[in-house]
Amino acid sequence: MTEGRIKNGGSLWPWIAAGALLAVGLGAGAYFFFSEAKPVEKLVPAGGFAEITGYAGPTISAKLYFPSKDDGYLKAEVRPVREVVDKTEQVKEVVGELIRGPRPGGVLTPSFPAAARVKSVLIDDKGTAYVNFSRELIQEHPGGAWTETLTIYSLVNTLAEDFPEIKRVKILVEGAEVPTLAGHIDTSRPFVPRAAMNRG
Amino acid sequence: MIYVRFVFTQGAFSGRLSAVPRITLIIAALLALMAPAAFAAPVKPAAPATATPAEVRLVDARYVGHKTYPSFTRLVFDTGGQDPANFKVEPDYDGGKVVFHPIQGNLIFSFVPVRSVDDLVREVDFIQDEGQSRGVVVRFGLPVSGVRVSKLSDPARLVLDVFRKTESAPASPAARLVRTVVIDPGHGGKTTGASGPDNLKEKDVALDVALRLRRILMKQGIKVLLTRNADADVTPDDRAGFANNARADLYVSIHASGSFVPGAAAPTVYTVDAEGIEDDAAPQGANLWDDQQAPYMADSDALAGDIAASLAGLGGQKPVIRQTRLAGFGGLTMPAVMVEAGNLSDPEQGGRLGEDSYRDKLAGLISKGINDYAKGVDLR
Repeated sequence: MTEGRIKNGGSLWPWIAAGALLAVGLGAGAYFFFSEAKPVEKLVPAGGFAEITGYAGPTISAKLYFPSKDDGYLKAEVRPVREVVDKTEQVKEVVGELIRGPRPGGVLTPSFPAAARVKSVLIDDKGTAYVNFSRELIQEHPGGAWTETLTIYSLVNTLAEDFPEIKRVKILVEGAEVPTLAGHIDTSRPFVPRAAMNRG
Repeated sequence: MIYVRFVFTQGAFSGRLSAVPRITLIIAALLALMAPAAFAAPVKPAAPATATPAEVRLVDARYVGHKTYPSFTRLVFDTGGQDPANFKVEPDYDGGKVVFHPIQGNLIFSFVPVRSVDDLVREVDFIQDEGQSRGVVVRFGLPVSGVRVSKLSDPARLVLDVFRKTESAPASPAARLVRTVVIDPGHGGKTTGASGPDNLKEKDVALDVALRLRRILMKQGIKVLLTRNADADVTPDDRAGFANNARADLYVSIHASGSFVPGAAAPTVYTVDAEGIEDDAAPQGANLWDDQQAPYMADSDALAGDIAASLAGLGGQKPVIRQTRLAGFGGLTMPAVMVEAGNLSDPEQGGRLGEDSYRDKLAGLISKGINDYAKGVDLR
């Protein structure tokens, strides 16, 4: 159909313009895609993620730390997370994936109550991220000193890994400081990442 | 990925437009302009320039500062991101010094020697032996009973605790005085803790095991106090304050564990994490509440070792010792541990925690661990 129109002497300039625009778009896209200025590697959404979330837009690759059944320490799972422009919204997206839990069927186990939500995030100029959770973080937490420790460091080590500007994390619940999440670990002060908790 | 699509698109266009030389020329020119931009940029960001010189590795260890405690002086060194395990620490008590040097690489002399630290530690300086191996030397001003070395990460630090030698301090592990023990049943009141089968609550299990442990220890003539003896909520700091005011010799907190997924948990004895009670923002020499546990940490570790060894008598998984930032523990002025034996979230272990026989056995094994500690048996 298109071929015929060209042969029949229709105007070529719209096609030239379209071709030029396409080439410019492809070239610019390729340039920005490969550019070093991009802070994280872009990924084509993995099938599982797109199927589960119904989301096929841009993603970042996030390293999420979950507890491992093998040794009771943290192991990383790398997976795509929805990309958003605002930094604090990006932190919310990553923590949302932590709450969603690890891919089923492996050695990794959840570190957060499924009903918990991140209500807000603030990162101050000293690199402290204030992560404000809904009350379900406390109400639905199963307890146990090590389970609580793993909840905390799964969050802290993940955020420090995925956001180099985050140096420490302060946990809030419904906007307020809490002494502990489930009666064992002192959450009144910020946590710095603890590399010794990561075992892979 | 994009590269493949790019070439394919170019091919499609060139096939279609071959009959139109002018268009081909324009498109080709545009593509020629764009292609170098795409191909010149690296696919992945360049690796950070962290390569070290191949022949000689330079090692940094800066003196950060000190803190004076009644029984010891803590010296902190920043190892410049290096694994502190790369440092060998060699005390020389007769020579009145402790020296550390890198196992691999050459130390840089990167701080000004400190000539006056406190009465116990006279100075921190560099040393270079005949083999040209460079190290840091800490010279003592008074007799020293021992040096505890902690190799910490995030940030990488080497911490030396230099202990003051006192007239009464025994030269070797011997009997420890255990006259008063505070037992802390976890949770209470609205704070129920973990939940198990048949609506079993951690707060009730903890109180019941604590009462059984109290009976055993009292029969041995030990004075026992409980942070709560009813279903009441007590804050972590109030529990610590109670034990401090009672001048207790030991603090043993009783808990059960919980988890997101069912599964048997190894019996676990916790001590407070050294990183959890350090506060870089604190002024030098400040006597903060959360620093109170520091002088007792070696004994807390010994108590944890003895109780963990005894809990092997439960059978099943081998007991483990873990450190974490236990709420309220930083303020305790005595050796202190938390015991978790059994996971309430696991149907089988949760069921056992509901049995009298299991609770009796658990209380008996904890008391044996306390007795071993008192005898000076060191099972770390």
